[in-house]
Amino acid sequence: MSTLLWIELEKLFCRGRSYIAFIAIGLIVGVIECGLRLEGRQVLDFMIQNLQEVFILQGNLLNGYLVTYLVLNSLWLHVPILIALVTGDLVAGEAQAGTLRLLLTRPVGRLRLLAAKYLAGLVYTALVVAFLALTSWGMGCLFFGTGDLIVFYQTINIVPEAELPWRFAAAFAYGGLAMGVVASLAFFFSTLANHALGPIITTVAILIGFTIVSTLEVGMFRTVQPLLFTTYLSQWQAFFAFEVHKKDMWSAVGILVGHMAVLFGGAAVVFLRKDFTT
Amino acid sequence: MTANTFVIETRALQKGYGGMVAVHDLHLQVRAGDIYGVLGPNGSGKSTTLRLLLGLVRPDAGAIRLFGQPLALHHHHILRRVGALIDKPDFYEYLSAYHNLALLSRLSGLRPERRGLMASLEQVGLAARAHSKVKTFSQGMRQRLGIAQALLHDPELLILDEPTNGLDPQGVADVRSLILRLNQEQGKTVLLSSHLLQEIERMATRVLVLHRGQTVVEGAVQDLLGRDNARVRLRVDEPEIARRIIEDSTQEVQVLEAHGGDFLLSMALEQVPRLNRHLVQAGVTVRAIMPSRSLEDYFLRIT
Repeated sequence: MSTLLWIELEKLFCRGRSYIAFIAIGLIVGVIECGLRLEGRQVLDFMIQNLQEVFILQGNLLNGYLVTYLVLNSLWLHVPILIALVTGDLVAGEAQAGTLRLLLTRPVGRLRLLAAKYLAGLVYTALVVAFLALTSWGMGCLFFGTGDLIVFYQTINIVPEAELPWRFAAAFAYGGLAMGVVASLAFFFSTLANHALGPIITTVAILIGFTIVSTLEVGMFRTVQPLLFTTYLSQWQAFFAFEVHKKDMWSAVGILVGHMAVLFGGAAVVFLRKDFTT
Repeated sequence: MTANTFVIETRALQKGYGGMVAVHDLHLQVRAGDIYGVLGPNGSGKSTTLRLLLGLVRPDAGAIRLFGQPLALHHHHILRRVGALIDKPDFYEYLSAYHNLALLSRLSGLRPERRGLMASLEQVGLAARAHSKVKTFSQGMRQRLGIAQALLHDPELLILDEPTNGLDPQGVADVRSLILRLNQEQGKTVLLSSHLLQEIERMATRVLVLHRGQTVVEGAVQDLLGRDNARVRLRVDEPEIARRIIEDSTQEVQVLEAHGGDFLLSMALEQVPRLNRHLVQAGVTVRAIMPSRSLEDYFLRIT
């Protein structure tokens, strides 16, 4: 299995398309950080002008942690698209190129091959999120220094600097898991199709549609909202609440893992029963 | 494995796509050491048959056994002993020929060694382009690489779908000679499909003719060719005398076509020298007499 996984990763990282996400994230984070470096003070003053009328705020408030938080809020809708671009191609792209036929005439077994591809997709997703962490958090702290974090999540929260490393680590880990669900969704559609574009577009369409349903405060949507994975995508922000509700977070993690299991199970059923005629 | 053992055996194999039957009631028996040709026009079920034998598509009914084992139960084990080239040879375009082979070699459970991989590429005349990306390859080069990958793990059985497709005449001759060498020197069993009937005729020991998913005929190539009269092209300078001799002949000779001094005859092959002698004795100048009892004639008659 490890050989298969290495082969899949080797193929993945020999393709130019796989680096689009890294280049895009690097560029966008760079632009945001440059912008904040130039005009961050004004942005911060605008954000906390009401607070400054009541409280005296001291210290380095425009710090790497705030920059990371702002970057995450800006990018959390774009990263899934970048991930779907690669994971939606994992099976359908090979079917389209004819190389899946080449793999299936080798003594590898369909389920093992599929599992290796899926794991490669998850590794890729984890690397993209890690890269996002490195650029936003690492570069942010390097160029803006550190300090306490002021965020607006349900209410005004001031998180002390000492707590921020574990909170960000947990937020990125949770984000990685949420992106894993997006990768699983794109991967599932990839097993249904013989052309790469279909799974990518379908995943993005579902992501947009479900996000609308998840965020609209309409009565009829409220009943389905807990069932949609998009409801839990932005849950990483809960790690910056005054008190982190661990039970709720574990529950959200369980739901995301459940989604991944169901989607991989569905992909396996499709792939094992499929006739490869291309 | 003895020569009487069936390397491939199918019973009442059936496969359809939607409402269309692709393969119907196929009984196939390929013995060890055979070069077995599968012939048929487009849509006859050749590719589906080969895909069924490799587990790429699942049968609707019937049984497939390779090396005496059911394919459905021993798929993984069986594929270790099979090399295949199905449909057009597709590779990872962004990788070199060498890298593609190294990767496929690892998938076959082998540890790729430079010498072995280069020998595979040498065998199909691609050693000089080993490190070129496949996207720069012509169709013929891809076909050669396809054959190299099928041979990587030294399989006992080769399943080749149109192996000479896209090759130039020299390439066709090279591949044909390679397949014959693998069969004769290394005892590999070969199942190949081709629309080039001459290729099958030159290589195959047995042939299966499919039409609309059904077996039209199956047997040894020489037996099939011996079943009917041959077609003989005759060119003479004195057509009237020649026609009279042919019509007066007690031999079973039938004139199929006649244009001036050119005749197309149907007759037993062994009667050709005698007819030639009669014509010459009657003072007819025989410019050409060409028996052509090819599989193509046979194929066109029966499909």
